[in-house]
Amino acid sequence: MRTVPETNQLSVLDDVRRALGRRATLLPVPLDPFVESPLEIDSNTLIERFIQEATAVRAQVYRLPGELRLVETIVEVCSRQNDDVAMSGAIVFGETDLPEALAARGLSTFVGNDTEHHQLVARLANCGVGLTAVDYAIAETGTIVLGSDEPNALLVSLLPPVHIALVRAGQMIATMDEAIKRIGSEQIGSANPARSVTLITGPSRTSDVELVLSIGVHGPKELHVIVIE
Amino acid sequence: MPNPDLTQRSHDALENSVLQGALKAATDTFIERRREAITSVADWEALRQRARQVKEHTINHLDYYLEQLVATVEAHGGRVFWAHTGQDACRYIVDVAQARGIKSVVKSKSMATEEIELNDALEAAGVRPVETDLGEYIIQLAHEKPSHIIVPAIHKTRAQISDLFEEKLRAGRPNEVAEITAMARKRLRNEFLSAPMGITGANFAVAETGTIVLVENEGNIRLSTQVPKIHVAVVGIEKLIPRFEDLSVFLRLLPRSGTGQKQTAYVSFLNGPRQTKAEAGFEFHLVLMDNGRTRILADEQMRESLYCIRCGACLNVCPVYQKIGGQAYGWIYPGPIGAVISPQLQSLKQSGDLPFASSLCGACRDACPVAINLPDMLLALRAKAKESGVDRKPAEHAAMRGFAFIARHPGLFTWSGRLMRAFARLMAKGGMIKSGPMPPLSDWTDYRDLPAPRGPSFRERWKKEDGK
Amino acid sequence: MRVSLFITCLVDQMFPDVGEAMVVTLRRLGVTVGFNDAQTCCGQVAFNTGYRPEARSMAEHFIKVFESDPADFIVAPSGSCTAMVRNFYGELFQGPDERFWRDRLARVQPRLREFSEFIVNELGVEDVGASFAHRVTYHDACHLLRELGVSEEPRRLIRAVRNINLLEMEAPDTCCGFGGTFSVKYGEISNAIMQEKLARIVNSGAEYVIANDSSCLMQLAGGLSRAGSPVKTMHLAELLAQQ
Repeated sequence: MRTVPETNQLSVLDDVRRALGRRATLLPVPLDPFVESPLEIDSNTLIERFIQEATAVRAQVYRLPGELRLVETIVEVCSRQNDDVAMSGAIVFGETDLPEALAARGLSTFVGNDTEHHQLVARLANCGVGLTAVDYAIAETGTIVLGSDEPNALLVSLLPPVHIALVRAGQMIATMDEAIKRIGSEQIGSANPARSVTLITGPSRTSDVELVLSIGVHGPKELHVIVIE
Repeated sequence: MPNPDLTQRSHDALENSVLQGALKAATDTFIERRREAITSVADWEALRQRARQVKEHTINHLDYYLEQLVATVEAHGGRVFWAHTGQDACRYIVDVAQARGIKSVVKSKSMATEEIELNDALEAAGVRPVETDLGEYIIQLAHEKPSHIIVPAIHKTRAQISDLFEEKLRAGRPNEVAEITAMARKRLRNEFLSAPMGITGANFAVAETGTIVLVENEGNIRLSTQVPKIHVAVVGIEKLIPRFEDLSVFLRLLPRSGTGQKQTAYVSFLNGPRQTKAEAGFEFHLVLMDNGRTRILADEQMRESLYCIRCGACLNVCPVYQKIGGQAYGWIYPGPIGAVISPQLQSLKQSGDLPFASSLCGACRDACPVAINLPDMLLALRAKAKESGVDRKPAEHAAMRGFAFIARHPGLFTWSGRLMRAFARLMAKGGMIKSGPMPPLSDWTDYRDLPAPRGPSFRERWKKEDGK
Repeated sequence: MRVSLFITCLVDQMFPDVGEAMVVTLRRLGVTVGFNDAQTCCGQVAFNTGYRPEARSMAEHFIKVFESDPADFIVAPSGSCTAMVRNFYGELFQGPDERFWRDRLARVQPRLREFSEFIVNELGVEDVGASFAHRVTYHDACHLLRELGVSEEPRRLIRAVRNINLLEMEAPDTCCGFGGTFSVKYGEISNAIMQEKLARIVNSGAEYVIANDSSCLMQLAGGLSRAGSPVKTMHLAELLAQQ
């Protein structure tokens, strides 16, 4: 708490207390938690549900039985863009021969872990594809969850017009409710809280003109999700 | 901001056939999408009641949760400014911009910033605000006010928007929706990449974790908060919720109620300024704003108006909004919630007519994801308008007093009833009164006939046939 | 079963046929019907227009009229008037020193029923022996639907009428636009809302629109007449009295 009181802090908090009919802040009895029965779903159904929901919001989803064709799938999507590919700092990309495979198609990769912010932004704005891992995926809504623990993931998933996200089957969570609770306990409430966490559900969109859906506004126009079992 | 004649503005809206078409299409679509989206929740009613319970708890302990929020935001390295009024908020933000030599800012859609006319304050100080939400960008170009909480430019047709872009942007005429969107994306991308500061509102502020929650579809909020190094969030004090896990309920209610989506494209959980070891200059400013909210808080009957999560669902189902649109309400907040909070955030004098422009049908209460008893709020405001003398109508009051007097004296009631019916029969043609000589009867007959009573009143018939 | 009529000022003075029809049907169902002619008006218009003191004085009169009435139920041909007493009278007697009036209100409030919910839920009857060989549509009056939660009961009663053809209109639960003094204070908006409703009624193909609230019916009848439409309005009570 601030030790030096500012005039307008006293003013607003005082007004709040006065409005509530008291002079000192009252400690509330916390609300009981809202318990909902968790969905018991097997892994296969989870993935199918995720694919169904993500496809419904215009993401393109690929289901791979292992890492065998991972590089090939990514390269295929990237080669349609013809601009540099940006990779977030996720370790998984360092473990593949992805940069070489892309170079063979004339595409250079960029990992900007230590780049200064404005330079990073400018560089990413010229990339054709952004490639990230994810922290979780939510089957109920076809959502992927990115935290800023993965270096530059949030900007890499935002600035280029195409975003490719890598999901491992074990990261799948059934419902939004479970996901929020896990993000809260594992990422935001924990000892080292992530600075930002973003839920991504499909490519960017708007219905501001006559409520007609238009895909691809300020965020990426395309979202590709690769699910690896 | 003054609130001139609602009747005139409604009239203009009703005469505007383009607006009428746009409103009907939009509200019909929203109603259908919401209805569909609700089916994907097992127990919608349970979620609503829980959401209301959380908001009620938070608002009743707002002092505690505000203190907790401030502590956690500051612990993360964010700065908190308490804005007593809208002017305080504007002055603080202008100071932050000017002190850093900032000449342009990117803004996301925020009702709170519209409420305090932040754009005017920034422009007056030589700072150029760029609205980045497509709907807000459209109305900024058109120099208009938003007409809907979720889709601010819904009153405009595609053709009108094409005209607007052609005239203002001078880069050709975008005809299809995709072309309009592409033109806006291209224009605004440069702004995102060059603006040193991004200004947003917040959908929720989590006290326990100091998290600002922002819900969107376009990606302009992500860009406004991730690209510029400085992020300013203007947050009404009522936006708080206690714990991160409480978001589970609200993030299921808001998208479905607002746009009929299971989830919007992006939800950002922001926890203070980004901190990288090497680089300085990242700042997060939280402007916590009162601007009349403590006035609502102090009134126990009206306190639930603060539960609103600004989803816009009440607008879409309101028969009045469906006909007159958002701009006719005269300020920032339209529809039933606008009719409830405008007279409180402004004053009864400025917007005290809004609560009377309702048929009290209650569809808003049914649609509200936080189960706010909006019709009760409207009734309470009507009573306040009369009791305070703000909505003084001497003739109307005299008539009510007179009728109440008659109603306490059954004999008198029977006699005046006879008189009334005799007059009515004189004016009737073929069982209908077609034209009344003066208000309020003429106000009725301007638009419809009035069935004339036939024969004696019920009480007279009963007396005759059943005795007693 | 003894019922005391809460006739409502509107039915009493403007639509007395509705009151008569109510009595006919209730008697046919074996109910003893009483009418206390000291009653006048429940005060809804004053309350809705913001004049709570005036509404309160009418509420006090209402309570005085009915508190010692021995009837099992107090039945009204109006959802909005029933809601006024059941849902809103409490607000008029809220202060800490209002215990006296709240006790008296408690003798009246729980016995209030709207006509259709009384027949279906208290008498357990759906077929009242009526017959009406016409196409009808049903309008869900707002207060009946949302304040009292009544929407199935009227429909069951209508469907049980011999030879009737009930055609649901599109969105029957949308407002007719009356709203009390709103209808004259903001007549142009009220009319615009009404026009939408009239279009739905006409599109249903019905010859009659049925509702349980005379205020809605007054609005709709006036609108249909002005439009020169052959569609007629009818209160549910009048329908149930048809043989």
